[in-house]
Amino acid sequence: MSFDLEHELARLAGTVHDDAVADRMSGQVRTMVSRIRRRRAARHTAQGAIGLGAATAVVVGGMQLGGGRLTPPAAPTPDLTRQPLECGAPLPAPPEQEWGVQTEATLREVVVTDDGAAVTGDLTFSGLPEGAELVGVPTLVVTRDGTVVGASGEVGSFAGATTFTFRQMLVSCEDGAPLPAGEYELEARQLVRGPDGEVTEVRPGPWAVQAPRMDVPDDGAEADLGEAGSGRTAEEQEALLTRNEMLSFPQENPDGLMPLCGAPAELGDGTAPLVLDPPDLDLGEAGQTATGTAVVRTRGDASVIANASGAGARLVLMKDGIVVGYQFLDAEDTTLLDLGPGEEREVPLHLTRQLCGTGEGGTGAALPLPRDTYEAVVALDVILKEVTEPGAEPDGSTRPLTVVSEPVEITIR
Amino acid sequence: MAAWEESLDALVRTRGTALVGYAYLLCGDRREAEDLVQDALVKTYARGRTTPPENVEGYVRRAVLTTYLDGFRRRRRWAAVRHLVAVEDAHPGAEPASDARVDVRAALGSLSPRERACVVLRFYEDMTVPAIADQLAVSQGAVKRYLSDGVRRMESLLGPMPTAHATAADDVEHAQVVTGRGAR
Repeated sequence: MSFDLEHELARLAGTVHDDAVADRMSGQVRTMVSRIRRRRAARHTAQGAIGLGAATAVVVGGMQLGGGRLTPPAAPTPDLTRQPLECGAPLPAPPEQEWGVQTEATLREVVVTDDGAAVTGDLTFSGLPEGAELVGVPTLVVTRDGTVVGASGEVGSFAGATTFTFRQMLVSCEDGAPLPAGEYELEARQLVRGPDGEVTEVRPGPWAVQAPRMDVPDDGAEADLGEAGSGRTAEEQEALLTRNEMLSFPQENPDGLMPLCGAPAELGDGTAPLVLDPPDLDLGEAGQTATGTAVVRTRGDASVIANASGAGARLVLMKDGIVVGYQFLDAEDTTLLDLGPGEEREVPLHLTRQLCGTGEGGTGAALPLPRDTYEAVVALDVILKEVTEPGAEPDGSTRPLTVVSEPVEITIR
Repeated sequence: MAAWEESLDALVRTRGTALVGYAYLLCGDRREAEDLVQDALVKTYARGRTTPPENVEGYVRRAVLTTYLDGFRRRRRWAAVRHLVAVEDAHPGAEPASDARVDVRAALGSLSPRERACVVLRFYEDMTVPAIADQLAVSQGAVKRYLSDGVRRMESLLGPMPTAHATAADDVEHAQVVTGRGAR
């Protein structure tokens, strides 16, 4: 038998050409974008004050948009947000509207990337009158002294959304260069179609953002992001950037897994037959792992027989409702829980101060969770075998369940 | 979305599987091939403005090659955890796997990383000996040795490959050094 090597190699390479590979690769684009941004960020130095300090929540609850600080009145301009703003020109005043749309904004810490500094956050609209709806997605604009100076940011959305995640680069609308260090104003522009069909604009904000001084080293040089700049080490800066990327672009969690790194936490509906005591821990400094003890008991007067993960429970850390830290546990071994009314059982509790998705089993080197305040729950995987409520027949249906405690706030120093 | 993100997205959509196919020939494992391509894409795009957009696929292919050749430690780590992924490596495609294809895969697996790289670059990427030497940063003589040894070992497993001998000796400059073969 004679071989045509070129032909056979081409055929062999072709065996990977299927939809699954294409889907997996496409599904990894966002992850790759995050990794690229982190690498780019690590090559640059940020000096001077990094704006906003710790993650800052800016709440504009109940704000009557169109009243108060907004200069009245202007003619309705339905397509205003779809028209590019003129760089260097005054930001047009929004039209007046009387609907009382409320906006809550969360701005996270300014981070530095290859293309300049960026601020990420969320915008949530509420209080829309019946029959009114948001039209399209908000656009963001950076101004200084009322003049448009920044390029438009990115806004993520899906159909029917009233919460939008955004990433706003602090770069010039003129040439894309990083904006000079200093304070700027960030405003959002959102079209709303009222009950009468009229479309007008609401204008949440402004919020103050601080552009840091950028100092770009020679190509290829490793940046020292340490003490002279933000007060963080390069690792801490990368950890902060990575965490904020996770918060800005959360994973979908269609199966309701808990915990799932970078996805919204599934905290249950409070009706599980087992309950866990909330964590009572001091996490100390970031970047370490440790073990403790968790207590599981039955809810009310129920009796429960279940198999629990032999490894025990784990502490799950969340930021803005997104899972950002937990320890991987090998769930091969199980331990039997047989709890009557009022009985409780101690199980090992594993905790980590490492950012999930990094290090072994994740992407890149292990990163510590940035110093900050987090929501924390204890989670325990069980297989329910029999649940007996008072006065009822035992329910012997077997089903998996992740028991989750009430959340508490925990600070990583 | 930044321009580089659009470029990355378009490259993954249009050339992603082709890049994985190339990486698969080098490493012999579908999942590792996907990892290789992702690492190469990250490495390439992290360089930012220094990568000309028209040559980006060529740079990615080059990064796949260097990542493969430098990646012994990574492959060991992957070998330790791959059973957890539990994906059938010899995944059936649209057509049934032929004995020849399986044999070629096994024969490639018998080569050293540099022999394998030379064979793939020569017979799949259609690169010349000087171009391969440039990519691997070795002498042309070394490339010819790798090719000769590699083809001989594959022949011992697969049978005679007369066209391979003829092509291996051909060092006529006719392939682009950086971009390789864009059609595959």
